[in-house]
Amino acid sequence: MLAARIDQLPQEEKALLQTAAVIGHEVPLALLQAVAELPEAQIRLGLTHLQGTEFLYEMRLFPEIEYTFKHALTQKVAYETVLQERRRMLHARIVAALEALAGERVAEQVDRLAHHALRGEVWAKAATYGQQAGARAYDRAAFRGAVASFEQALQALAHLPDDDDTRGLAIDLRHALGNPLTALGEERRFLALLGEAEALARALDDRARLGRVLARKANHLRLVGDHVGAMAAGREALDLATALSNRTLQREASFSLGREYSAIGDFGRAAELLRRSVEAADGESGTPRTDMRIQSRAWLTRTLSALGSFTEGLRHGQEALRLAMLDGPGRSPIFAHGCLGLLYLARGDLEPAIRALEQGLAFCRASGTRDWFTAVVACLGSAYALQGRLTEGRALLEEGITENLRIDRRQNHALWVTWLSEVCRLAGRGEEAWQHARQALDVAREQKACGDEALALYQLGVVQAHAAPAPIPHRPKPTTSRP
Amino acid sequence: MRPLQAHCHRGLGTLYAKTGRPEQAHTELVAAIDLYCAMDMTFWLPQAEAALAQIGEE
Repeated sequence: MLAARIDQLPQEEKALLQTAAVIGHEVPLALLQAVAELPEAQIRLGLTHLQGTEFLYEMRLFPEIEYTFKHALTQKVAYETVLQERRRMLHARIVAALEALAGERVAEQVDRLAHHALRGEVWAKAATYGQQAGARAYDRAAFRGAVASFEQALQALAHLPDDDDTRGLAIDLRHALGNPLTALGEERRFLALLGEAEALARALDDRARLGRVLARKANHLRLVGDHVGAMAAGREALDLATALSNRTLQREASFSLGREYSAIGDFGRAAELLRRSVEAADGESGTPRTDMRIQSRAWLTRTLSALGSFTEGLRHGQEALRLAMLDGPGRSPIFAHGCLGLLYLARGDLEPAIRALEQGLAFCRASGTRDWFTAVVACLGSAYALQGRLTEGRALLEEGITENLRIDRRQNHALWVTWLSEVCRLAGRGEEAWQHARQALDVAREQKACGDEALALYQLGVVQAHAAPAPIPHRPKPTTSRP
Repeated sequence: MRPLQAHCHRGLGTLYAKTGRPEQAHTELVAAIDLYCAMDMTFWLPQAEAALAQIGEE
């Protein structure tokens, strides 16, 4: 029906409508004029008729005249009536027109440019603009959009000559995909991309890029609980950074290895590496280094809280939060709140812990980020439980643990199951408390995470002690059985 | 891992007290209190102090 109506339009009006459809649902007049290759008077006359026949209507006059399709379906049908080769040519022409019209403000148009460059098969520009659009989407916490843009850039890259520059960009794009994929909890997918990037970097003998990939790989192996692999990748990254005297890589490798030491319970070495990472990040300036200043501090805060160095930890945590709220992109406000909340929780300052964690949870829900969501809800659950809000605390801990398993994460699993054990004990469910503590111990031992193992053993002791309320002289025969 | 160390001392102290070993309980609870004070961990401090006071009363 719609296609028939379009077919009945005079030839020039039909062509104008088709050009508008290729531009998109919103059609700036200046762009249409630049692409349509018709005299201005003819375009205005055509637009008047297209409004009269209810295909288009004028949406705004300021700051520039813009038309829009009456219905999304009209635009879709009109687009489909354009022959494939003409469609491609129009998209390519739109790229050139957008660049010319945007001038120095081309950065504001990268989403549109990436879209049209890909469909116009302007492959080099599609790769460049796709990469920029992905970074922009990530910065405003639009993680799905960021993944789509980076993937389109990779798709474009496959059409470029297979030289060193293309391969280098292929590594960088896989690397860049990590931020939004991590935020969405798609760990395994990113690990597969890192495997491809590592192979490309080794084949190119690009040691700087290899170092960055390995530092990233160490981090993501840690998240899935492969501490042996994480340690090996982290050490190789740090060795490469030292050999190359590459300060940025040294910072990245220290950060990655520091987190790994923290995960296995070697908090002293972790703090040393993370302090180095903070110092190095402070020595650099601007985004994404600001993000690194926040992340390094947040992780140092977390590590120092395990060591009981709360004063130093609080200083770093508060600075991380200040930076995150100032201009931290993407997930920064989430993990800054999360790590500060964890420090307060470890010290037993429940009110500020709950405030920080509830704020972090609000950011998680607003942005749809899944990776820090699990940590934030688990910490908040533990804080609620210590405050006596056992039902809420248990629900949140169970949500965190379930979600962690769903997104294929193993890091922190033992810690959170230990906390769940304590909630059960406080609720008088001794058998469940015992079972959870045993499970936490098994996981910690399997992952060779000494810190988590120590905590699980402590919890088993607490559960057992509370299950045997038998003071002398009425003490029954000693038992080693479960409560 | 000083916070966990403090919790372990408190746990052991409480358990020793419960099982009639007041001297060992005293040592453990004092160690816990020292650590809690040093780290300004005021949430668990009253529990450790109460357990220590109870040993003194018995």
